[in-house]
Amino acid sequence: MDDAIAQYRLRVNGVTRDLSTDASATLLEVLRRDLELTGTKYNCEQGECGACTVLVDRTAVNSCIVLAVSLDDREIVTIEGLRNELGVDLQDAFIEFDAAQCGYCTPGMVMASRALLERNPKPSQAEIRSGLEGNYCRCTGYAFIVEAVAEAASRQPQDNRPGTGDTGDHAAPSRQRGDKVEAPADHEGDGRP
Amino acid sequence: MTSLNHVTGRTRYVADLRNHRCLHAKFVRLATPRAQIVEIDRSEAVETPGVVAVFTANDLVIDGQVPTFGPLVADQPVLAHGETKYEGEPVAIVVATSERVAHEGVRRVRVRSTPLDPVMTRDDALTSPPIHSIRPESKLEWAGTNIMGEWQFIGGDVSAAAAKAPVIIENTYTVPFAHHFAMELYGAIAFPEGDGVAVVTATQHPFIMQRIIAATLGLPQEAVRIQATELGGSFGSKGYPKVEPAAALLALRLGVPVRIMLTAEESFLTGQREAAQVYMRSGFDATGQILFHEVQADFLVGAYTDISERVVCKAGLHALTPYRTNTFNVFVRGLFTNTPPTTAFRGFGAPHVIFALESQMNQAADQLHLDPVDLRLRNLRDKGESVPGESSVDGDWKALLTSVADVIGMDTANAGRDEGRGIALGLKSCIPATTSTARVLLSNEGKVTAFVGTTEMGQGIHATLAKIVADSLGVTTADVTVVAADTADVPFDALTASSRSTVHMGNALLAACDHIREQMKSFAWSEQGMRHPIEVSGTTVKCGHETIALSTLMESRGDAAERHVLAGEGTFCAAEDPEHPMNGPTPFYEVVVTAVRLRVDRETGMISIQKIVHGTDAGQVLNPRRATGLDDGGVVMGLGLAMSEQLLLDEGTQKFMNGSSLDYRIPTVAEIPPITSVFIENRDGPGPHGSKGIAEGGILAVAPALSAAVTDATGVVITRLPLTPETIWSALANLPDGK
Repeated sequence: MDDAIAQYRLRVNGVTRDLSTDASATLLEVLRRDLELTGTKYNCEQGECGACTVLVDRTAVNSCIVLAVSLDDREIVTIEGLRNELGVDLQDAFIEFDAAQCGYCTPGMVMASRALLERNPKPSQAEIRSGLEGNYCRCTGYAFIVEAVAEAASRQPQDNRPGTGDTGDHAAPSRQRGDKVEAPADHEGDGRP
Repeated sequence: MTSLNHVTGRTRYVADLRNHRCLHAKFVRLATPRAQIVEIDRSEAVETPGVVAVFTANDLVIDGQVPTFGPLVADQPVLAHGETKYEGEPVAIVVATSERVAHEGVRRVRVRSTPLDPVMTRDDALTSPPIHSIRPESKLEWAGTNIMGEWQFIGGDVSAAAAKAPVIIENTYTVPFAHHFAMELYGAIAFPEGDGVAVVTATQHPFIMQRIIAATLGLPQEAVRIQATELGGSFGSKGYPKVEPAAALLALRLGVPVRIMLTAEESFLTGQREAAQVYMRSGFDATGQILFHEVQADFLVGAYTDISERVVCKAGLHALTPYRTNTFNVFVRGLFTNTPPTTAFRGFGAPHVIFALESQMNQAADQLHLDPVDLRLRNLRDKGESVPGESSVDGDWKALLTSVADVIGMDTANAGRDEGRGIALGLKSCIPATTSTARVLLSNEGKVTAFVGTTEMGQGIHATLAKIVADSLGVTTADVTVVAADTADVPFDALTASSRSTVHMGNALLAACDHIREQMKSFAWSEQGMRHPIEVSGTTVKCGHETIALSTLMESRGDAAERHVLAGEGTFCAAEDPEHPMNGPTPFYEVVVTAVRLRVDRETGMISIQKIVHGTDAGQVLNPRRATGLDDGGVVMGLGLAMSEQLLLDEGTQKFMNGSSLDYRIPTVAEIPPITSVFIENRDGPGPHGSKGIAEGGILAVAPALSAAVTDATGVVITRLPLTPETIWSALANLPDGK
């Protein structure tokens, strides 16, 4: 209650947000309460279940255990900001493979998958499993989620699909994809064919 | 649409809804399992800036009574008064301008209490004075003990059969308390509305919620509106009221919207699955035919009734249904304990007795040196066979069993040392004697709106219902909009549970579509002079070579501008029988077979599962991808409950040691074995296209199949769930020669 007010700046889904909140507020709280970005879900608030996964500088982070103030000037992407090509492919694959049942874990699962594909564009089944181990799902039994992520990976631009203009660099996350992640959330025409 | 909303984060669960006028309420809970409340000092809390009010039970009295709630027996107080009966029971509630302030207010409420001896176990319950001094409204006789209710089902003479049985298997099985672990936690927002209240909540059953809240608050039902949001998982946990009565009461009292969202730790202490001890004695002849079964099952139901009377009764009623058993004595009891109220949980009591029954069957096969599939085939009921006092067998259970056995290769020997295979069958009946009503609007543009009370919690029912309507009216699913689960908008539907909605709401929708077709035919007859046979397909009416569009029909009525939809209504009522213990025979049987191949590491007791095959008698699969996903998810939930999930009580404090998402381990993606789904589709169900309900089935037979495979691999028989490495290792260590 005697919480000091902290002032800091986050870049959320490409938009700069100057914030003034309780210093002890977690990123989860700030996203859901102050920015009303409720696409990010929560359950354990202990960094265990992965429902609140977002990207901080392109890495998956449990937003429930990170103080928002500690992310001054960092780049945050939530499910609402996932509009790049890979995000669309991933989300399409989740729909096609029926990888969401109740859907509550889905935003966190999609963000964790996005981070996984960012650092490992061609993950094996085992790598997908270990990459998503921190995300609980109580509905699906996970099989369709793993299938969806594998399918999304196979559809990545590296497949030399016409029109993707990708460099074919499998080893490192390409700057091009990263730039797309950082495109403003309100920018339409986000590269989806 | 649902899937698109899920993957884009646009689905609005109850916690995502926000109203800037909302006050935030948070419960003050006592951490002891049972205590006498001496004093509640809220002086410091009410002085906290932002705290609007702090209520105790006495502040909430209506007509001289602290309001209570419950679906069968209104025995759960909105706030405890005098005595708390379970760990975490709320004793006060802080209302504040923000969640953070409410949380701080809770910290500042001082509760003085005296611990009382808690009733925690079966033996405690049977030997201690009753934890309830009164028991209102129950239809059951109550003897002033901790026995909530007991049921006995007898056929033939068990003693005589036992005297002659060459093989008798006798065991006591135990199943621990567990938690649903829906990813979305409990929560509700209540709004004052008109002369009453509207509650927006994650509930499976908006109409049951409406009835109970009205009763709790002393309001007419029409003054209570329930808007069920999409649920972030439920598995039974969000069937019956939990936080909603308090939210509604506070909204009415304060005249502003009130929001209550529980944490994961609070959710663990709000709804659980019953613990049970199931004693079973079974006799077989040398050919493996069942001579008798005797069952004595005690379910620990927690501190309040919730829906447990029906859970326990049904568990007993269908304990033996899969197999032809003329001689039986089934005795089941529900016992009150000072633990959180238990409630519906996927399988509704069936998994507890199936674990016992199927383990008995597997052990009998072992003792008789019979194949466990053959033993079951000898005893399984045939399709069409009558079941005394119940619906006849509606599926080919033998074909289901042999299909699953074939796919996993039950007759193929284990490949390596310490490998094993196991198989088990599970059966659950569907809730009888319930009604679904649906309304369907068809526009002259071929657009359809279906109004249903059915809630969506991940089972994909809205998509399935849309498909049923689309197929019936000859439009595409994209043309169908489902409007669901607001008591102010949709016609009555009993509940979304028991895997009933495909059959019940599906049939109600088909009837509503028929109603629309009748209207189109009569228009065609009276306005267009069409004569029989008139066929209606989608928005077109055909008669011989003549076809006419709905829009043309509408114009011929001369009121196209005003009347551009046809409204159909349909109802489906499952048979009722007041003499039946559950009020009626089951509308269908949900029957599954699960088979497992695994390897046991003798050094650690750890199981590694190589393959699971799960078969379901679906009647007809209507949504193949989701049906498979539901079975996958059910099997994996079953694996969790069979292998790791249990709520552990500290022997000293009698408090739960692992009631948090961190400590209570559900399966993660890293632990998932390959699962193959098999569906038997003979179109022999009562639902659209011969379908049956399937959503609960995955969970039913996992534990006994797994247990049988562990026995096959190691020779040890384990009758206690879960099959943790420690349990298996200990059992192996106790083997005389460490086989």
